[in-house]
Amino acid sequence: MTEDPTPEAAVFVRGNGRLDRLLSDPRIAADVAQAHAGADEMDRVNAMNLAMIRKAAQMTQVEVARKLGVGQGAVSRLEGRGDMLLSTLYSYLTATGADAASIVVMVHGQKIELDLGRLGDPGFEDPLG
Amino acid sequence: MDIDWPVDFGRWLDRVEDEARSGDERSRTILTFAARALDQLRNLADAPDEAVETATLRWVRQSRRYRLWRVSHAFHPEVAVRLICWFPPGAGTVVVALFAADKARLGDVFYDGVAARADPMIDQWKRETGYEEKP
Repeated sequence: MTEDPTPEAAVFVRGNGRLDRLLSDPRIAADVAQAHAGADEMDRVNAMNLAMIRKAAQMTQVEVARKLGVGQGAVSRLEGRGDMLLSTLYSYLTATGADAASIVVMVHGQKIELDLGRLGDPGFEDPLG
Repeated sequence: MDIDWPVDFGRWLDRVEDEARSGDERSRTILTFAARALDQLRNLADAPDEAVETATLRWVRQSRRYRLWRVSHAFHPEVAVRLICWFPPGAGTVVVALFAADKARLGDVFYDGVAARADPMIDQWKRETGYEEKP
């Protein structure tokens, strides 16, 4: 990898030096710092969602892990995930003591509630049906 | 992390920077988010774990031969820069930034073509570096 490729040289180059030069401009650095703050906040809120439910239940990750039959690390990773199966979410919620869990959506002003605990139930009645 | 990127990506970055410096505010915003994404990648200690995605760093579900990742930023009403990258397994502290695009006008359709564009680029990077993934 070179910073300045010759015509015969690689299609790929190492970009760290170019990034350093870009960020050496105080105005760009300030813009990027502000963008970092926004991104950090987005990550923080994203990670908080599940943990907030657990904390509202006054439980530790270890306690939730025990109920789920997994290690504390698995719960930690679960709380950091941006995507998961609804069944995984339901298991987590019930492990924190939730006795009802549903997804509520508004469609053309009509409120539709999906009971997470019944999504896999063969007798589940489709609220749209 | 060390960041490798294609010459074409560098040219795109140069062009956006030129436009930003000439007063184009949209280009300034795109440059900011692209530089932020690269800075985020550079500051990673390790390749991300699929089980620990964050809002700003997620793997691309439309990946094919290679597990691609995308870096995003906090919501902006007009600009949605997505940087597509790949972490060579077992390569330690190298990330290959492939390309970036503003998907604000494309929506998630953008991701449908990501793998077709990215996979051959990764093949090229592997040829250039002699990288071989260990089984």
